[in-house]
Amino acid sequence: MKSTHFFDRSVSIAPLVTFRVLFGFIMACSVARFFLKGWIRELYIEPTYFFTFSGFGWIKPLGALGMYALFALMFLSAISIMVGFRYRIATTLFFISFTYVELIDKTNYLNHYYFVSLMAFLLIFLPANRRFSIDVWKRPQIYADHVPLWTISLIKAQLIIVYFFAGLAKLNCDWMIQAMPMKLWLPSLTHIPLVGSIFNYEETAYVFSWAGAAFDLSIGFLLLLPATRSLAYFAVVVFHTLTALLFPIGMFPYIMMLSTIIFFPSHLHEKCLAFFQKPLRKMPLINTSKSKGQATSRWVQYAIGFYLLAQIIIPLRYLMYPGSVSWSEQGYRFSWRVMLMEKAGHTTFKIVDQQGDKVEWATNYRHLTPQQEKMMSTQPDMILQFAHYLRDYYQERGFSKPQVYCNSKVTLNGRHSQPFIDPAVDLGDVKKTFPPMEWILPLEDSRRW
Amino acid sequence: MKNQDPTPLIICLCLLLVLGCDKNSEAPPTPSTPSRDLTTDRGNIAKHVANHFIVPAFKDLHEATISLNNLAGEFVIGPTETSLSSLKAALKKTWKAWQVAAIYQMGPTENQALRSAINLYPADELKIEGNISAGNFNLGTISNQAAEGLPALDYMLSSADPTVTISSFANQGHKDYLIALTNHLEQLAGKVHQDWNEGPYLQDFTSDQARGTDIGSAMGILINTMDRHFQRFLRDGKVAIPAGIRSAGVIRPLAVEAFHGGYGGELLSDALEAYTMLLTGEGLSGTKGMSMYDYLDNIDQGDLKANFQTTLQSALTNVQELNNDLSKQIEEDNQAMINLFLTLQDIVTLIKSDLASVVGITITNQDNDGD
Repeated sequence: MKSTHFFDRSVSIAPLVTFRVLFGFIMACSVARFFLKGWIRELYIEPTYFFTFSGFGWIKPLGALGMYALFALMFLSAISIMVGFRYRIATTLFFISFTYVELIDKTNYLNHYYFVSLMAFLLIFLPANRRFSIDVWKRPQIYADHVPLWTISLIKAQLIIVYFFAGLAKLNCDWMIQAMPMKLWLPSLTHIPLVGSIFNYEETAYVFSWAGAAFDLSIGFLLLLPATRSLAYFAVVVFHTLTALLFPIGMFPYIMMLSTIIFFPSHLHEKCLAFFQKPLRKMPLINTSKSKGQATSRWVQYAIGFYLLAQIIIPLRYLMYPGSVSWSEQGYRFSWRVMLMEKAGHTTFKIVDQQGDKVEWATNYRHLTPQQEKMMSTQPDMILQFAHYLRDYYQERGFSKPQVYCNSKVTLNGRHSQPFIDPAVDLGDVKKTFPPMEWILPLEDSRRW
Repeated sequence: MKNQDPTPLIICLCLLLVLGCDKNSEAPPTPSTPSRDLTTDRGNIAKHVANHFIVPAFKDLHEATISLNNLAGEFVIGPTETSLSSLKAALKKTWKAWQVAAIYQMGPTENQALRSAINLYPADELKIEGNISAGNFNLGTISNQAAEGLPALDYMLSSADPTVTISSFANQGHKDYLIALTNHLEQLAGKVHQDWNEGPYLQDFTSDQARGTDIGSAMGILINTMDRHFQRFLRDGKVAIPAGIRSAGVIRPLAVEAFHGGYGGELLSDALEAYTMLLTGEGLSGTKGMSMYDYLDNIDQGDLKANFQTTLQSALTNVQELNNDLSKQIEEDNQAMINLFLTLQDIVTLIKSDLASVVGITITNQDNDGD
């Protein structure tokens, strides 16, 4: 059955299995951490307003009991993925529950949550439970020691895309020439023991910026090549440990350190599995191995192609819109744009009724949490959403056809705060559309403080 | 792809970089500032603020409440125009002291819920009268927040005609309520003062571990409290709410601070002055120390400092042009209040957006992951 066609080749299942176990493990940790930090209450129970994603307005928080139940489900399904129990159901439930939570409020969007959703989605279709799992223990006939090569390659491709686009996004003036935002962030780390004092120097910001860009651009490929793999993985560990220590980026570094283990050759994964399997000898792990050289349906091939194409197009969609993507954030999300901005703003809304005899400035903090206000202040689509909410809110409170004008000043990477949204545009009257959004003012003043 | 020449790729990447640059971007910055030590700077700011702002501010406030309580005692024994005017002067002095202390809404101040006990206005006058006639009340409870503190004293002591005030104190109920109010204030301010002095809060605040810029760091706490207090209590409480900016343009002149005393303008000016001093590092006792402005200089943000100075100055000038009796100002020329509101908005932008950004502080009350 030897074939040179990519989709007909098969490889050891071991790397996929270790990936499944580690993914389930780190997800269970992430969910537990989220619960212990009190974030379920802070982010999904306490707020009264939520910034939903366009097209997903029907997604609502489920109330205190519902949210805790949903996170419990997420936790249990992560454990199930880890041990390979009812794998297909577990991955589906995990994907749905995790993605549901992420879709409740844009405020909490993080690229690594998007990454988790994608990975969970892919795992639904990958046979990662066909070895070293409770499913195999109970139904030995599903055991497989080989899987189609594309299953593992797909995960590797996804990882390479994440790193490469993160690197590509760093190739801009602010990051490379100005060393921004590193130049703003690093001086706040000078109190760190031992190494802290190096952050007093601007040169350090340049080293970090350039090394970060070089790392992101190259690491995916260096992990792929056998000659550089070990060194590359060492770099992965150093890089992510460093970012975990220096910046508040949560679980992301750990997720990446565990995920990239999949790049190692299968014999290492085999060894690892064998080590853990020893104490579990009682498990009948019969090698029925029917899956070797399984042909992949044409439709699956198309689906994979479509998925990868989308993964390349989505991060590049910002090219369709005018102006700086960091400023207008049109095409910013789902594009692996990480660590790129120190952005803060002050955005307020003036509501005027039709006759112009009632004028009120909305009190943001009566409607939004500090975190929501902070995120809304610098992101145009959230500003528009909130403006529409205010329009309806004031309509109910007796304003006739309220117009909503936005006064917004934003600072990006150390530039002076400057007007962000056209103050003459009635945002209440602007339809929620796809970009470009003409009411975003261009980034003009590049003076820095 | 193994043996391919990587040159085209490199060229493409460079091209992307060039395209990504904004056209009017200025020349690369000058090479590094030499010997700066920002950790020490931040630590020194925390120490200076603790020793020369927070501690003296709450000491002043406590002393003012002691004298207020004493004078209230003298007044109820012999209610005369003289004893009334010294009592009112003590009230004003306490109110002015509070303007300075009010910024520091953290640790002991928050634990004792001092703000809502001392300065929730407008006072609930019906509630006060109800408490007086019932003779049975419990200060320090949430239901009595609008019936105690400085606004309640303002209501009781500051009738337009002093003889009316004095004659109202023929009633024992009035005397008892007045004494209860000043006593409660003295105790509360004393407790907060003591907690600031003896409690562990300031030790943590000035410790080496708090010299970063994360959520629990001294700078993080300070800039967050500056932002919060400025928006909610200075901009909104003193200006936006009475000027009708938060109520569909319907003015609320009764909602000004010190409505009866008629010196809301002076209190507002003091509050802005307190911000100016905190930024310049001119301590309350006159001792100059490491300040936010110095820090901005040290991280090459002198422009931002200059912007703060001019904006704060123009807000102060706006305030000084107002009628000291803000309710009259609002009734006669509310546009001046709206203009002041807009200037205060600019200061909010400077704190919340620019200052927080260049110092590396997140304006939030919770720790969060970022990416």
